[in-house]
Amino acid sequence: MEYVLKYYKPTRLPLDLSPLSPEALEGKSAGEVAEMKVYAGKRMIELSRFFNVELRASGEDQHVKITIVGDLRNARRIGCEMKGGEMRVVGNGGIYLGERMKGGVITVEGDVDSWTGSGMRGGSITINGSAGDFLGASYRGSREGMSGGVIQVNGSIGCEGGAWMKGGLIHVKGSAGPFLGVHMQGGSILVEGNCPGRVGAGMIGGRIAVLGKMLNLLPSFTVDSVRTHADLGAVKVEGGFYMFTGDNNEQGQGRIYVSKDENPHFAWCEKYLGRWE
Amino acid sequence: MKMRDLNIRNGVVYDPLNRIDGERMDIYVRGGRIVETPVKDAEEINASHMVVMPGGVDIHSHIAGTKVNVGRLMRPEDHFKDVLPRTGIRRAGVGHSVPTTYVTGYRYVEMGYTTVFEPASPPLKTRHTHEELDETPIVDKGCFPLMGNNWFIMDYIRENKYEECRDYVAWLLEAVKGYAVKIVNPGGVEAWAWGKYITHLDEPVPRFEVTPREIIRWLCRINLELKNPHPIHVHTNNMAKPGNYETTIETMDSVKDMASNTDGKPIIHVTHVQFTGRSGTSWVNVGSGAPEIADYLNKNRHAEIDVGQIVFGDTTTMTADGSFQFLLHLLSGNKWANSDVEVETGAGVVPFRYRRGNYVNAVQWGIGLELALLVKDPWRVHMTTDHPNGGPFTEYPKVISWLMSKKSRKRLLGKINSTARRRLTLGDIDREYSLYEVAMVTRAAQARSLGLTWKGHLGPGADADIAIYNLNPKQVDPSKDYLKVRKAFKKAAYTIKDGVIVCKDGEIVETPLGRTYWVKPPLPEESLESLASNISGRFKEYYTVEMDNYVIDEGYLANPQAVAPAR
Repeated sequence: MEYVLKYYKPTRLPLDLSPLSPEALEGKSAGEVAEMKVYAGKRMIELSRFFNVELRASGEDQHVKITIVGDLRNARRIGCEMKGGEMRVVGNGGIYLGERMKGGVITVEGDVDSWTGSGMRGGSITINGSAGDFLGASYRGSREGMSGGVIQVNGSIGCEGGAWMKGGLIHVKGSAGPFLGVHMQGGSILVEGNCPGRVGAGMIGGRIAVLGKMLNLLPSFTVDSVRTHADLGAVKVEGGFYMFTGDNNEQGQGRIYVSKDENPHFAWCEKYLGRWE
Repeated sequence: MKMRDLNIRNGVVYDPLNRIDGERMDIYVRGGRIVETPVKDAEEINASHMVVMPGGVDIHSHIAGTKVNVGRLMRPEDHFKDVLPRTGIRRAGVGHSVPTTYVTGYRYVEMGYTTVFEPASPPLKTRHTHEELDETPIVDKGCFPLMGNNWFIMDYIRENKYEECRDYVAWLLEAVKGYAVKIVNPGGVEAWAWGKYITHLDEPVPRFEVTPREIIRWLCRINLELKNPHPIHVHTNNMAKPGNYETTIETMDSVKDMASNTDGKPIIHVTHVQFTGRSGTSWVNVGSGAPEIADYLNKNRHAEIDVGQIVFGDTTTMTADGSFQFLLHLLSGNKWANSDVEVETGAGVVPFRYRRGNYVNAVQWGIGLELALLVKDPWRVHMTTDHPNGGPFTEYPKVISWLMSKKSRKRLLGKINSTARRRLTLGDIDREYSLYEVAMVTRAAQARSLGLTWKGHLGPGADADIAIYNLNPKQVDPSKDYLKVRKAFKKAAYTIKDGVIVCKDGEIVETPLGRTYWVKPPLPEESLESLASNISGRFKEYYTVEMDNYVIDEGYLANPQAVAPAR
């Protein structure tokens, strides 16, 4: 069954769409969903004030799919804590999309704002556009970042992607902002584009691979070897890489793979290598 | 808000101060006080099959002040888990372990508590404490100024000027509108500011050359002479270190000789003894010193304790004991805030998670319960979690159920670290608290210790602070149905504050403003003058504030009530 919500009356108030999870909607009629109340600003307002709800039941299929159509830049917590099912946003999404998500699939056609997949435990999020800051990071002050699941961003991401990350995979096809994987403890981040630097500050575990240009590296990392492929656990990437370990300020065991071809300015580190691979 | 007269009918009343143990009787309220005879035209409350107790009194709960506010600032992830939206009556708020002031008031009242004391307020920052207390609705409250590391007091002790020191303590209590003398790690916080540790009661504080023993003895003597309603409130040296139960006993023993002329009332209150009751020599063999401390308390009547029970889960630790917080930061690796308050004390804040599988945490859990169960006299052991150090005060129902039910203790004992389980004697203790004893350790004993003679009981003339819990003692056996006990104490059926029904079925229905109690010690005019001339010079030397700005005027408090010394 598929619920289609058309955002026919955009509001300037922030909407909290966290009640709209596939588990909560399962078995409900279109009318019942339209009567659900969500926070719009400081008041609880019925969904029908902003959305046209349509139910497309397709035979026996019990798989719940929610499609939201419209520019939902001011709608926060889409798919918050969802455990299964599928959500699709045709347009842009707001902040905290897929926050603390445990399972299921979220697809966004446009861009999303900050804190996407923060504290995520499982499932997968695919963003066709770009994402804001703190992708897959922990909530402010908390040390529990993303610990499972997959986030794929086809555009670029902002700063502090994967902060305090513990597990799972973040795959960015575009570029990443500064402080990628800050305080990272596990999991892997793959950035196909460029990265301005300060990657993995304070990291104690996990793996980061940057396939594009990287401006600089923190001095608290040690060059370990030159590798023919970047081993990110779930993903293996071919090509020449300098592998650094750190962050030595935290006695960290994290690994950063930097593309050898794209970054000739890292050639200085080769003189510190014990042997060639 | 309307103050109604009330007739509470057929409740099962537990009122230890009047020796009423589970009698079915009526309670009458007129004009915010309890009266002997039924009141005409009063609102009737049917409390049949319900437990009626005096409103709860919490003697030690960090609810206001600068360090609590630092805790609030540094724990956004704590607030985020627990959001309380506003209703027509109450305000919005957040908070699990360090709730906002409003939520603090509401949550206490929901559990049937009506009086709460903030136990550590640096005198210099007590203005802030009072501002926050004034924003804590419904409950009555007060704060204890910190004096154990005060330079002035340590100077007086070194120079052996007893009278000046006594007048200064009296002046300080009045100046900052405090309620009792609080001593935190006497000398140790000051020593730590110089990079040193105090490990023994007879170790001199650097630069001052006075020992913690002298500080405790002097302040205890002064406290007795000023006839303050509450004994000195001591957080001992060597907090949280293995083997510190000896320090705790030594601290209690250090003032034993002064107890002769106080007709059996305790003269020292040692606080959160769970943190200071550890045996062993290192973190590997740390064990419970609770049997030894309980033995001492059973033999000596001059000391009382509060437990400071820990509850497994996430919380925020905050004390004025800067050195202990630094230790905890090194142990846990969590974020840490530290502060030094000029001339007076320090403080620290570290978030902490107590884990069942952790050996030390499991031992801590056992120590607290062993203390509460092994001390025979429930008048001298108060139930606290040292909110938020051992756990948020909202976990009190859990602690009550552990005290009341061996089964519930056994159940959790089966889940904790196995080495800790082997080394604790908790499994062999059969004692279970009755509701009468629970009424003692949660309200009556604390009201008595605080000298609040008009609180903690339901006799005529007492404040009409009443908690009614939806628990039928005839049908429910607390030792088996501990979950029902937990549920009943979590949300009181009624909480009545000064004759106003403030909470009904766990929902806040009225939010009056409670009083702030403070002690006005007797201080003759001439000694005040000589004191002012004595300390004003030092004040200029030591403080960055003027003495005139230091003193908090009574008019600054929203609803102050001075308490005359009564012992």
